Amino acid sequence: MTVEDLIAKIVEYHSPRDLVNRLESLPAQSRPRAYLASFIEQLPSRDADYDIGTIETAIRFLFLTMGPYRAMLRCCYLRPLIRLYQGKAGESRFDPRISRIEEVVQSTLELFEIPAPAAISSDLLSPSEAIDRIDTIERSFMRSIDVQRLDVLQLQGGTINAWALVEGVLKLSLGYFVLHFVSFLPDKLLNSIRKGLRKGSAGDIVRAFREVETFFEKGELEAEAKSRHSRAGEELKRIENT
Amino acid sequence: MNRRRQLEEENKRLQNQKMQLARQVRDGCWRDFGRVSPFCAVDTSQYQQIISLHRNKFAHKPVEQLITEPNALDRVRESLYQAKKIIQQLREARVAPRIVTIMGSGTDDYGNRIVWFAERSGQDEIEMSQEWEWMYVTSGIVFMPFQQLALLAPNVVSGQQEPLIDPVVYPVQKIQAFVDQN
Repeated sequence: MTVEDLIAKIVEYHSPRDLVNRLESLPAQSRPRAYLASFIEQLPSRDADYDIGTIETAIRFLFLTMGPYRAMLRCCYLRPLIRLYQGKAGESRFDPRISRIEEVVQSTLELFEIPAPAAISSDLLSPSEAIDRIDTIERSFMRSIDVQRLDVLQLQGGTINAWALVEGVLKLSLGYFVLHFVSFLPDKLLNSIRKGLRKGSAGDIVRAFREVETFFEKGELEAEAKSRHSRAGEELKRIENT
Repeated sequence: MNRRRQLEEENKRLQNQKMQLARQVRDGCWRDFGRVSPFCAVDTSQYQQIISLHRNKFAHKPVEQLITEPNALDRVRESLYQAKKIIQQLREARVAPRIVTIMGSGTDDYGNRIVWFAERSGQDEIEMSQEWEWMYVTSGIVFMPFQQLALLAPNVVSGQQEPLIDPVVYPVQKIQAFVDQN
């Protein structure tokens, strides 16, 4: 099950008015509520039909900014949620008079096997993300100098971490372009790229970058061209000698 | 003599064949990314030198040795600065794709389908002050909320302009699978 399936179920088991009420109950000064204001203002008055698409988008926004657990607590009511759980599980495990909504939300997430978006991990990094993280390393480093509590291990670890972030961005760039041109690239080049990625250090990945560039320029790898030329040279020499 | 000419011609033919292939990939790169090769916009030969000077030093030396060197703190600062500079160059040259999260879908004023997205940053949550960007749905995108996509900058600014070139988009998971299989 995906988050999108769960959102569809939430919308199915709640009335549009219930969902709008819950969305409107977000604290007015909170940043999510401020952002949601533009959606909620578009919603028609109590008697008119609600635009389900707008409500769904608002709920998606909640899921993304708060994570599934907090988002469900914000947008669901207990009774519809229990019905939703029972509709999927086929058994009545909760009682609306005594069950706590936190338990029902937790069980529903487990039932739907929903991963939290933040849990998706990857060693590929967006440049903005990498720069943000290097800034954090830099700030903590400067703070340590200010309070004169600089740990030498922290100093080395921070620097190595910063370069690991560079590697994440380089890997993403290489993977992205190679995936795009994979049908054109010869096995020899792909093997060389694999070697660079397997070793994983910034230097190895940059070497793979340069091999890709050579291929785009000459249609073959540097080593391949060299061995072809030397083979031809040897053959010519052999002819001259005979 | 004949054999010699034969060999030379064979070599030339092979070289032409390779050049033909190079032209083909360059044309493809120009069409999809607006440049002749993926990494031509950055000087990667310089990177090797920067990496060995500013990264390998810290990775390969014992920490006690590092700290006793003169200007050790300045070197650390310089190393962080160089790491950040490389990433900035890759971003500005549009060599490093952005990773974005799909936030929702909708239509523009003319009824064309669009998707809204926000760039992933180092913060735990999507920054609320950050405006969502949008792009037209291309053949490469199967809309799924929260999907993480790698794309090379569509030329749109906060819902104002139409993209000049269709972005080339791949799910991050697909790139990750490619990187991991190696």
